[in-house]
Amino acid sequence: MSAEARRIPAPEDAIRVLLVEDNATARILIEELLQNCSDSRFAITCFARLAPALHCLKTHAFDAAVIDMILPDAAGLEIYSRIKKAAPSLPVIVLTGTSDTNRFDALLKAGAQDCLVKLHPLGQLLPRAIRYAIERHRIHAEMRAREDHLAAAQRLASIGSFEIDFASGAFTCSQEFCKIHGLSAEVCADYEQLIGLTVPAAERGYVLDNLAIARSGRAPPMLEYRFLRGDGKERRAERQCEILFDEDGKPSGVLGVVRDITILREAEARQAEIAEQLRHAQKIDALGTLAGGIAHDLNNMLVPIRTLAPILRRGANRSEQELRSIDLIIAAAQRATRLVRQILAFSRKQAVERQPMRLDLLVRSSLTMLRAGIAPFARIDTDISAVPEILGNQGQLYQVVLNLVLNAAQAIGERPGVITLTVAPQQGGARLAVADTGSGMDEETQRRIFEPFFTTRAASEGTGLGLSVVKGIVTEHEGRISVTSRPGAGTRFEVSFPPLGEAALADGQP
Amino acid sequence: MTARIEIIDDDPAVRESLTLVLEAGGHHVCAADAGDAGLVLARDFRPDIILTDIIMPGCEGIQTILMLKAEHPQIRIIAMSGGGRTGNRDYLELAQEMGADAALEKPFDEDALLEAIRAFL
Repeated sequence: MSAEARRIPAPEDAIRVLLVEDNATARILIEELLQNCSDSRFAITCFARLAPALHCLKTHAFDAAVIDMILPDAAGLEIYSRIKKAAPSLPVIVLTGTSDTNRFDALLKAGAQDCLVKLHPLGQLLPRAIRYAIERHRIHAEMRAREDHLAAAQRLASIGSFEIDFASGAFTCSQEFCKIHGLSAEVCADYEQLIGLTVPAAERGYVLDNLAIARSGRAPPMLEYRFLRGDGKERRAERQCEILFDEDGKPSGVLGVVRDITILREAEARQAEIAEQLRHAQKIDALGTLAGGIAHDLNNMLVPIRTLAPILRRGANRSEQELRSIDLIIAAAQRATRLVRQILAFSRKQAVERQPMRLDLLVRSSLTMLRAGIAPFARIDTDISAVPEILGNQGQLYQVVLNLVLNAAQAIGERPGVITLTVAPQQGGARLAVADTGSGMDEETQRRIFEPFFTTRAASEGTGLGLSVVKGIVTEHEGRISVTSRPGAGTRFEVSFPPLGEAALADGQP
Repeated sequence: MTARIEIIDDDPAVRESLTLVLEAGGHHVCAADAGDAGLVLARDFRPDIILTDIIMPGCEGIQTILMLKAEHPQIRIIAMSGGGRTGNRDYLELAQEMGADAALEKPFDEDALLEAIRAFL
């Protein structure tokens, strides 16, 4: 402690007072006054100048400070400010020589606990002022701690609160309330104005009416509404209010909490959407199972009609009327067949999208890629005519052409050979033929080529899946595939696709 | 050229109509209404070709095909089905993988049936 300081020893429960006073007489007077006090004990540390007092504050704790307003090394509000800076939580009582109300107000506003005029008989006043200052200061600190706690809790829960006083119309709100609205405290100063600013016109009346209910003394129901946040984003809020009553039991105001529930509602909506998709998938699945069962039985029933009607038609001496009748039966059975296929197609989940397309255009546009994809020994010749549109999936049909051409190129191997691609109209639909001058196949091989994993090649040359994939795609397109071959005389694959109308019917499209 | 043809199908109308068509085509035909009965019939009847349904009560088609192929490897088997799938696999595809030599999707017409038979003569 500095040489200037004079410390008066005191028991441990004494109130520790820092006294800064340059006038020796005044200092002694104050010391005596405090020590002679009957209801409190004080431990006083005195300084005549501000600088050593500030230095002492760095290392010593005090319960209160009593400071003069004019010191040799500082004066006025500056003294108070520097003490406050050195010890922000220390209650300060200011002594002045004159009773200057303006100066008192300035000091109290700055945070001084009390201002006393030195010349007035300080008597019991100073000790009491010190005790009150300490107590007031403690209560303020506690209040601040509670406010901080509440603000932190609101921040954590993302809940903002507000209060409206009916009589004055005063509106107060928490920091979190401002944050939820994305607006400054100034903008949030008037509730009706705030609602006007943030809530869409269509919902404004309903939000304000909810408060009017509280005004009439009935508990307002919980409210959910949309609002525009300060950043222009639309959010959803939930508001719950409670009526405040005055001493006579009359509604005096309302206390409300507001919560931003946008994320919650979005999550709920997503969950509902997923549940709906699941329900839909289950429904489709059940329908598919049902459709599959019905289709199976109907297909069985159609067998006798479709196999026997042609035999009937060939019967001897059929009249025109009989022939016409049998044709109608055959046509109806064909339509029924397509309808059942349509039902089955619907029940197959991974149906590939098909659209009207021209097979000749597809093959022409694939030629460059096809030629690049095969060994130079094989030459590709084409005989491509314009054909009617069929219902097809470009990607899948390209794969059919590609697989057949690759297969042909491998049959040719490392000898010169020719692959001929033919596209021609056939019965309203289109036909593709891929012929090669390669090694050809025996009957046994021909029968098995469409089986998955069947291959005549070494394991490294192919998976044996190519032609089974081709067969699968052609079948899905309601088409047919056939093969003609002889060992040493090459192979010819023919793929035919039905006319647009028929395939469209089978695919469930108009 | 004619053949001995066995039909296995649980639907009597299918059995009878196929019998009529094939007999009209000059073939010798016998029919069974289930897979196990078809196996017994094949031992006596000694068919060249068996037309078998896939989805049948009791001994179903895929199992029937496996047993027929084991017992009579020389018999040509044509699987028939009116649709239905296990997962994403078509029954007819499965039947061919399990040893059927050809497949006919119901409802086929007279031409398709006779063509399928002719392929094995």
